[in-house]
Amino acid sequence: MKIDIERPQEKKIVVIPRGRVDVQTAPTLKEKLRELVDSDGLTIIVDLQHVDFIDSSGLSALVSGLKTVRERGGTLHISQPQPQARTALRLTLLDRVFSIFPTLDQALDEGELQDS
Amino acid sequence: MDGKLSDILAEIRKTWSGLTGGGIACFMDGRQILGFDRRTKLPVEVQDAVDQGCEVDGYTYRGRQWWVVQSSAQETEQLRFVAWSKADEVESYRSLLETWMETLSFGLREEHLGKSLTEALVGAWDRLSFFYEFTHIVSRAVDLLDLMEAIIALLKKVIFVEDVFIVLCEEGEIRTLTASGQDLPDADLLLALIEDSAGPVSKRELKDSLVRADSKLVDCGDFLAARLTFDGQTNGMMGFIDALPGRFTANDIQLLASAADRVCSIIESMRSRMVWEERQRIERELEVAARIQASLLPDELPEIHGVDIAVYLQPARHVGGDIYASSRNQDGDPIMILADVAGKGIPAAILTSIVHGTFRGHAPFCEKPAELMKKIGRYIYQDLARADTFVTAIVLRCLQRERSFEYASAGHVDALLWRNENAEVEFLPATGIPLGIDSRYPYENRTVSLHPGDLVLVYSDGVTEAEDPQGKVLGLQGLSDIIYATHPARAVDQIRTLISGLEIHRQGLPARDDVALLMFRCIHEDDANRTVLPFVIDSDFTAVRSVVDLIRGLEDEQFDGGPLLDRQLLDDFALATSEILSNQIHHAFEEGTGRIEGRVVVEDNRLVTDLYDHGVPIPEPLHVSMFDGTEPPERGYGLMLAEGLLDTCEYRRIGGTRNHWRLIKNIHGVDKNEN
Repeated sequence: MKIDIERPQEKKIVVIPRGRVDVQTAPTLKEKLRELVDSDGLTIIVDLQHVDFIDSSGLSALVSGLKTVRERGGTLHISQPQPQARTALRLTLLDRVFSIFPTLDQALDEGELQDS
Repeated sequence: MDGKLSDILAEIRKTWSGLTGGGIACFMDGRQILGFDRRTKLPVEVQDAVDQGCEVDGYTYRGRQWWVVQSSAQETEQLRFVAWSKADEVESYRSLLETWMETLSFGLREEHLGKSLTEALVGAWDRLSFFYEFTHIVSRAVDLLDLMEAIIALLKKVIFVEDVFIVLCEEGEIRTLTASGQDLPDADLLLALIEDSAGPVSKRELKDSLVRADSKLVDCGDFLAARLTFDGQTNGMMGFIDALPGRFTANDIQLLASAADRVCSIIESMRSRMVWEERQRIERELEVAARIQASLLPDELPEIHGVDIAVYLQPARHVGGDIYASSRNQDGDPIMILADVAGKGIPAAILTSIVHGTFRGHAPFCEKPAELMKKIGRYIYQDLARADTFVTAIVLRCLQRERSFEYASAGHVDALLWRNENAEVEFLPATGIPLGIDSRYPYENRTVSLHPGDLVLVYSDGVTEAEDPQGKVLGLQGLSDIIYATHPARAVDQIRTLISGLEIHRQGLPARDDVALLMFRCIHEDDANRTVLPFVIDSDFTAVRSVVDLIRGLEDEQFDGGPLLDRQLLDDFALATSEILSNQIHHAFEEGTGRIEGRVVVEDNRLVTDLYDHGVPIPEPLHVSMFDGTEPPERGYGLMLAEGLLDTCEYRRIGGTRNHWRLIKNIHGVDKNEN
């Protein structure tokens, strides 16, 4: 798994993991999210467009990231989950926890359109 | 300048030019006494080196290597050689150049002892030609002893002595070579006396010791002996013997010391070359042997109606002591043998060929396995007795009509019989002693009936005795565990899984023994409606991926008349399976590692994964996260996912020792509750 980081706007960070986020690679994502939360009020968007497989360890890493950023008054959104990730988020009820956006732009705009 | 000297120097130039294709110049007291065409001048760098008095150095000039070799033996009669040739050649002849130098300058020193310069140089020339010929002999030699004899003959030619000898010690044995062909008296004593000497030793220096030892060497006029040191110790000596007392001069000592040095380095380089060549030869022969042995394994397994059959042989080294062969008996029934010759490598491989040939020769004239085993035992008894070894073997005859088989086992490890109906393993014990112990042993037959789905696995002890790094063997239990998971698969897939199970068990250690596996399985009516993909993995999170890949890879598989496996379905099933596998690894093997055996089964209307391990039991009831969608926990989504994705997710403990997970995903359009 490769993780790209973009900072398109102040206080907004886009995290783009690529490949599988599973029991082997999830700790890397978790650690990366923890590192990125270095100031208050951040919005982190995890873009899942290039993740073709995510398991419960991957979901745990996302939840962990959410908790870390929330502690400092920020939030974590998810954009462009692929069918497999969508199923995983739905079955674990995590689609009720995260704001999930069909496009990255919408996530950046924090638009009202939410995809469940 | 003396005419004789210029002749000698001209010879040196000719010799050097013949050897290296290069040129040479010689300077005495700064005067050029040999060499270059008068118009040629030495390159500045070389001239500088000569002026600075360097002893040996190399320079590249116009693509050629120049060597400056200068005598440092004498202050008044300075002698220098400047020689050149193509760079890659000059290095190998450098020592020759140095020897010429030494000998020439030594000849000049001798002049101070009252001889004329010319005489000294003429004497030296004989030695120079010796080293020239020496170089040629060495480049042609292929055998060490031949080479030593040639060197002795050559020495005899240049030094007028009664005899020349070389003594070599090998593995405690002393071998003496002499020019005359006569033995060297008390060679071992002489060798012991000069063992610690720095240079050649003459009779005068050893006289007292020889008298004390009452040696016959006291009777000879004079001798000179130098030790030969190679492989880090004194391993021989060489020298001269003559009837004239006090025969040997400082010049002879110099010659012997140079020759001994040269002989030592030749022996060392030759031995390392010979060892390497010998290794290469053995390697080539082993490859040929491995090909021959591999060709003995018939490409086509016997075709037996209603039976699925596979075989695997892997020697621990190039060639092995395990063998499989098949034939037909007098009634046309398929008959097979799997044998294991005690020992490994070439000796065992030779005996496997004998077993193989004997089996092939006698099988068509026998009816029952025990009868054939008796014949084989009687026939090969003498060979085994001579080799002081034995063979364990199992001969099997398939009775197609009765759905059964007969076997006779000569001390072979218990074969394994999987009973499909009650999912149990039975063992098939030996029916006699190993071959090679009693030529008339009355082996017995045993008949075993088979039912659909039953499986017979015959193997060599290299399978069950495979050790992990802690020395724990796979054992019958490990073998049975794997079969428990793999049994409905095709024989060839089961064998492949067994091999990977063995590799996982060994944890990267190389196989210490040969491995042989022969499996035959009664086809079951359900076989046509399912595809079984068995696997064995290490209880390591990284191995989970291989199972995920196995399931997701089904999208590319074509199943005749099978279900349509779309990506979404396979992703869901792979995710559920990986969650249970991760859970299994997490809970069952909290301390240490273990092995997980399993299978993925594709049926017409569902996907099934069975997972087995020998870890600690999972506490019941299963805890599915109680997360209600408000405050998310950081862990515990795995079982939630598996339950949500699967139609059935069952756990049970079998026999108090084994965990079994069964995961089922119905394929679209099929009733969710149908298992």
